[in-house]
Amino acid sequence: MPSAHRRPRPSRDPVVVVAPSGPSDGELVRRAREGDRWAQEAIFRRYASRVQALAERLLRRRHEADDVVQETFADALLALDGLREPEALRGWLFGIAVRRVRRRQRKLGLLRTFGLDRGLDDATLAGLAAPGISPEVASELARVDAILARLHPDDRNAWMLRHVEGEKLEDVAAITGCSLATAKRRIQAAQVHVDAALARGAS
Amino acid sequence: MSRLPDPIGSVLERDEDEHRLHRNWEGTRARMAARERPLLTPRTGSDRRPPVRATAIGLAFAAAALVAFVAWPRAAEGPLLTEAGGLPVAAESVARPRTLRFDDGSAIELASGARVVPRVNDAEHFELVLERGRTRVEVTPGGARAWTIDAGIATVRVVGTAFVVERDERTVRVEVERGRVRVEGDSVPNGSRELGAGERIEVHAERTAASVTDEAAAEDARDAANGEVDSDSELASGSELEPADSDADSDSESTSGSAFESGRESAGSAGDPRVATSRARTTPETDAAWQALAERGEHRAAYDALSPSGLERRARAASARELLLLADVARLSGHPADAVVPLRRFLDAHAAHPEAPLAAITLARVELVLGRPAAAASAFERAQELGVPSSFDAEVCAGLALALARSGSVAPASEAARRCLARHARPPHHEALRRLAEGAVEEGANAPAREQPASESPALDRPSRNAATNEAASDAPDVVVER
Repeated sequence: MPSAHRRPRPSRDPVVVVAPSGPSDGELVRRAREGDRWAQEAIFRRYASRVQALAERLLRRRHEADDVVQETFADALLALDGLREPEALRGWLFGIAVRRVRRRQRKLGLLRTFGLDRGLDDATLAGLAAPGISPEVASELARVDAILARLHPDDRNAWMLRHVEGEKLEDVAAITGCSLATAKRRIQAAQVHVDAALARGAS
Repeated sequence: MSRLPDPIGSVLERDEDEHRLHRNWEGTRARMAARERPLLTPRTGSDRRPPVRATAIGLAFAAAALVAFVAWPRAAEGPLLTEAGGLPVAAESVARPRTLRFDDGSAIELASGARVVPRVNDAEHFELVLERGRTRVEVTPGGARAWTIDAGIATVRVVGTAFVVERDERTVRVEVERGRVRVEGDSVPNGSRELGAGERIEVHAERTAASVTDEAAAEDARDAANGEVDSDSELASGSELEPADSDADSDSESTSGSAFESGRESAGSAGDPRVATSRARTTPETDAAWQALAERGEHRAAYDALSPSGLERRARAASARELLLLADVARLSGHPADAVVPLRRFLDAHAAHPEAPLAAITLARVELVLGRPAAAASAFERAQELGVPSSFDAEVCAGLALALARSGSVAPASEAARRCLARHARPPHHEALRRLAEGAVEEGANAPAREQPASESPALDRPSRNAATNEAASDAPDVVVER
């Protein structure tokens, strides 16, 4: 076997070269489509933590979010040929993730109906809050989280994409696969309940 | 008035746990492999049912599933979880045997050095790949999931039983303690064999010979069932194998064709002239075939199209792209050892190629899988010299420290751990790295590094020279740690 790189072990203080942030999304997609497995992993590493955070916040469960991450990237990497605009990779991934989330929300809803949901919500907004936030903000997060949990998942997802993830309205519509008008309506429907919950807390 | 910022996400933490990320990447790859696999099985005419009939069947199944769902609350609701409530991930025993327990009461005991990787985990299926070593599986009877253990040349399917599977480079042994299992594989006579309690089978990659033991062997099996699973005693002695006569071999080889070749490891029947002849037969047509298959992601079929020696020979004159493709074919078809040659050749011949750092990282991962930490450390160092992409830097520096620790280079491992912790707030296995770094402070002065190539140092026999190092390394779940 060739072993040119099996040279004597160098000194214990090697020069470590860290490359810059790397190729663009479009370049990674192009390479991954050509069968480059490393480009696939680079895509995963670039977006996995964001998809994971999104899924966790929408589902309120860590282990369910892990499944969504795996399903999302398996879906995406096997269907990269279907991505028309490689530079739109981020939104496309989020769209797949939200569809996967929605499927799990339906399943969880069904399980709750039959009293079979034994899972714990371990990724609530309050639970995910960064250390150091004020008690008032923590309290409001808990109230918002509680009211969001009771809303229809479509309304909740749209509101969270807009106000938790900070997505533009157009992007919320694209990610959730609905029209802009529907996205606005869903966000507004959720906003009414959120405002009411916050007003009750303030009074 | 709300005090919440807009967006609210700005006050939420995002989990950047490298270990979780790595676990999810493994899970993603496993799911992709599971979806690719059915593409390898050509559909027969009988599979192509009219759409209306298929719809009716689908509706019937849906109705049955609904009834089962309502009437049988014991049915699983999702993936199999560990006893602690987490998703099972790749696991391996380190120096001591290890038991994985699941929420349905099932358990997997891993003997030292064994490694299992979940491939499919849902409400109906739980599929594990036994990458190496010996494992005892106890599946709770009546569970909702069908369990499958893929041991390369043989696959074990079971619902509710206890059995032992052992895999080495060329042989898979299956021994049933109770219940029944079905063992499938190209090297199993007639493609599959059912085993009952006390029966065992030994499947060899070199030939299609496999034997089910007699009553005496069954008694041995019962003894083994009562003994320590993790003991060093062999499950099946060589005497139980009934070598097929040469005619039978010849026949079975001629009918097995590429499937026979694909199941064989490279170290297999080197002395068999018939095998040597078949291995040397690579044509432009087969070259084109393997590349086309590999580019479609059908790595197992691509590996079939290249016999192991064909893969190695192909690597001698391959372009950079072909070398990477060959490495992919070897790795992703479950033959990591065959990925070493193309990856090394790539690094030797194309060090300036943009993919070179990633090839070095891949080589390091492969060497770890093969239990060669010294070679893995060398590959990680090569990756660092070539320029590691920033998104891989934490994995590489942590991997280097742990690989050095496993290869017995205590002081360099500790130094590497300190460098890694200085560069990254939360690298993979950061707890293990922290202990590794601290361990060197205590012992570094009188424990000079001693290189010991993995191939020359059966690490299982090596006494622990640095408790802190070993303890630290043993916390790294994705790395084989041998003492």
